[in-house]
Amino acid sequence: MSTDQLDTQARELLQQMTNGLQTSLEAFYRLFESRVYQYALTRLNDPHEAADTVNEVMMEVWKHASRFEGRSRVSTWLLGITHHKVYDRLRKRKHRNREEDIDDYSDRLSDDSNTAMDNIIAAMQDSELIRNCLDNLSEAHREVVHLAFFEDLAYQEIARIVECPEGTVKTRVYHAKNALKKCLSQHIN
Amino acid sequence: MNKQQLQESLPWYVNDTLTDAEKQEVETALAEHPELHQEVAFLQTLQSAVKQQQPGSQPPGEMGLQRLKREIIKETPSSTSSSASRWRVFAVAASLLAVIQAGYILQQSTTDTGIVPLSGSHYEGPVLQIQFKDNASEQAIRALLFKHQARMIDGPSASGVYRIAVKSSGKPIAETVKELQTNHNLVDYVAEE
Repeated sequence: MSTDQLDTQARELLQQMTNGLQTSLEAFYRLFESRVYQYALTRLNDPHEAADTVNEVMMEVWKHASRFEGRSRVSTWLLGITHHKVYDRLRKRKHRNREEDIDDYSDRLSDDSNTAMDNIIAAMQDSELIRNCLDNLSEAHREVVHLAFFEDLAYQEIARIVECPEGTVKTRVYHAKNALKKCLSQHIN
Repeated sequence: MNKQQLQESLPWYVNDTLTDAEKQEVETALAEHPELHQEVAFLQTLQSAVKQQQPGSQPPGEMGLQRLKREIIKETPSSTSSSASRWRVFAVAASLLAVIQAGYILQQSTTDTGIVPLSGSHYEGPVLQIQFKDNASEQAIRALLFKHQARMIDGPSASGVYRIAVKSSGKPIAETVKELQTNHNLVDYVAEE
């Protein structure tokens, strides 16, 4: 199913849900459960909390389907709800924000030579290594990497989901990318 | 576009979400900074690696859906107590089943040979989803369905939705939906399946 077809179907299901049709919620759940779960898991790193987040997000959709205004794709709206639910959970965890560390870290990064870049790209074939380096990113950086490269979202959509300026999204991805390169380089050396 | 701006645009160039104008701008800038072609290659590999990452666990699936449905039932408000509301749904369903078995709802013309027991899998005509008001009586529902030559084929779901089949009569089904919707004292919601 194309992105446009999926969005059309999702809009119809939301409309039906505003009339209380639970079979539409079931169809909606099956359409989007995996994406919501993956996104939550990327940030929470806990399958139980990610599953709880799916439940909360879908309950929110069920109760407030009429709040979808149609100004974005349904998936963007849905991931925005997921972002908020995950943020609430992270606040409860009281995790230290690691963004400052990553930014400082990136500032010390020197330009890689082309040869080093070839080695870095080769190292990315190691799925375990790339997973470790992704896990070492801050939640904010891991989030934008997931939305940009797993969900293939435009920076404008990501900005809407995470509720920050478009420039901030671009900067976060830039720094996340540099942090990943540094992590991969360390393993090569 | 300076080099920094170019580098910040490359992820969106790689995931193909730039506008045509932005893409053109990036490609022009890349021609001026060939050293960034390796950057593009890195981002393409990153995109591929992220997509191929197997999650450490699977989403909850049907169990998660059942959990959601249970919580919706618990949270659904009603004008009476929630348990009384559930009993009302069951009571209406039980009454309707009794009526169906008595043959009252399966009203067909004498020339119609398509009469089959509800227990069979065959039914004719378009199918609607319908939800009745909590205080709708079985007698009123029966009369409504008889009037529109409709019969129950399934339901209720956890939220009280029934499926009814309407006998094909040449009348557009949308018209039947509108007519059913005018029964505000009986019908909460009705739509084509």
